[in-house]
Amino acid sequence: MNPLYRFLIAGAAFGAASSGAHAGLSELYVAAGSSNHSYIEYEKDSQRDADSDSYGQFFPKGSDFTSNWAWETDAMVSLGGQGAYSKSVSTLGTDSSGFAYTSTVDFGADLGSSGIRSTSSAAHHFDAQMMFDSDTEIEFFYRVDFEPSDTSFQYAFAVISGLRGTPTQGLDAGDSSSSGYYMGGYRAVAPAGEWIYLEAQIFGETDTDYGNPVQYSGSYTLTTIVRVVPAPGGLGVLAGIGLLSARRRR
Amino acid sequence: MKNFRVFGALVLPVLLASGAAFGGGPQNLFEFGIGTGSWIDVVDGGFVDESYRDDGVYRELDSLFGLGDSGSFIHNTGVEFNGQSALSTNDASYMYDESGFEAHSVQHAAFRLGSGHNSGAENQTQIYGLMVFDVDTTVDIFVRVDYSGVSGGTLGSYFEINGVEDAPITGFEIEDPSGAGFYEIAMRVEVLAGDAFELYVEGYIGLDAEEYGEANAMVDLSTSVIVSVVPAPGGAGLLAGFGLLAARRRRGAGVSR
Repeated sequence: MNPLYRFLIAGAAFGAASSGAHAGLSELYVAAGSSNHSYIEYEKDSQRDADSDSYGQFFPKGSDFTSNWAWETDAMVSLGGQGAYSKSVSTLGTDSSGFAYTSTVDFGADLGSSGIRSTSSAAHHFDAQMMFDSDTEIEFFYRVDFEPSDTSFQYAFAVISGLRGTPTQGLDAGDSSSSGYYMGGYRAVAPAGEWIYLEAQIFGETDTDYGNPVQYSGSYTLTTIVRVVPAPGGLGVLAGIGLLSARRRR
Repeated sequence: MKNFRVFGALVLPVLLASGAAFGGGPQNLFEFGIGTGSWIDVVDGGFVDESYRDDGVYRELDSLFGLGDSGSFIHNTGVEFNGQSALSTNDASYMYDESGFEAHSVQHAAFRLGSGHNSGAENQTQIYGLMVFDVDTTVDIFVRVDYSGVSGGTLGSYFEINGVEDAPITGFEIEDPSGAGFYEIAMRVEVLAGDAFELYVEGYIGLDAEEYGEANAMVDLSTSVIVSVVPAPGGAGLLAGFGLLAARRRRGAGVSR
């Protein structure tokens, strides 16, 4: 990911953390994890490497809602001239104003000796449930960066449900031979006393069943942020996004 | 003669390069259109005050070689009668040449309609582009939509692309958001030779006092679309020009909107 983009997201997240410190978040549950898996077959031998890690925490009423996690998982194999790796880096920060989650995977593969199956995959997931004491305006932002692959399968999505008056959501990315990104964000009202759900996933898999041999390297990133809009006029995240988009325009 | 040699030395590599990059005959097609319209109908008893305004540009070209155009147009439509009022504004601009096209639209509407009367108003923008290339061509697509929320009416943005291989996103729409927001999509895609790459984007604002009773709203919707041909690797400058060229050459047969 572009360093400037990281900076902007970090700034927006920090702004969210600092500006909404007394917002009306009542209860919050977050869970996130990543897993990596690589497997090679060669003649009568095989090699496998897998790694996974996950976090989950429930913040009841009266919590300060503050936590910060950062973790890495990776898997790497090499056998008979074949090789595959994937490395995932994830961060999750929460406080009373909301939360920010980012996960990036870098992966590469040089797999396949005719008739032998080898695979490599990486998966990230993030789930959140939140409730507010009173009708609360929040901002939701998501972004997915992807790179092309003719020999792997990828998908990503970020969906939030339970908000009042949110626009129709159908922006998920499937199997991609293209590079690019998509992002979106909006401001909507979370009704008091109702659970708001957020689910985000990104997944990538290379399998010699899709094509043999496979030579591929790339990366993809998922970011999603939810923050309470400080009253009045919370411009934090959307302002950051505005800068971002302006930078990307001609 | 000396000048001719210099000229030949400059032109020949370009011709060779273009032949290598776009081999085959230049059979391209280019269509582009942007249109805006706003309609307001204020009704009070037996009295009707109606205002309608539209504007647009449409081009259909067999070749873009050496061609390009740009322009903009603005129109305002307003009606005020007996306590009801509606103001609708469209501000649009466009540009195209061999490298692709771009279009921008800003829609603004302010309504105070109804109170038992069947008044209504609409504001619409449509952007359409089609390109057919004579060789497999890489194209960058950028779409950005910003919207305010709407209450008591309809606000929608619709985006669709066709004719690209394995694009991760081929369509998206928003409808009636109550809060402000945006979406932005940027992709690099492959368009195969002879395939018709199409892009259609529509922005719509509508209020109907019959459906919603009293309808008061101030709504903004802006749309930007940029489609650009990616020059062949290593082919800067003139080759980029030829890329534009290729962009224009479409195969007319079998292409329809």
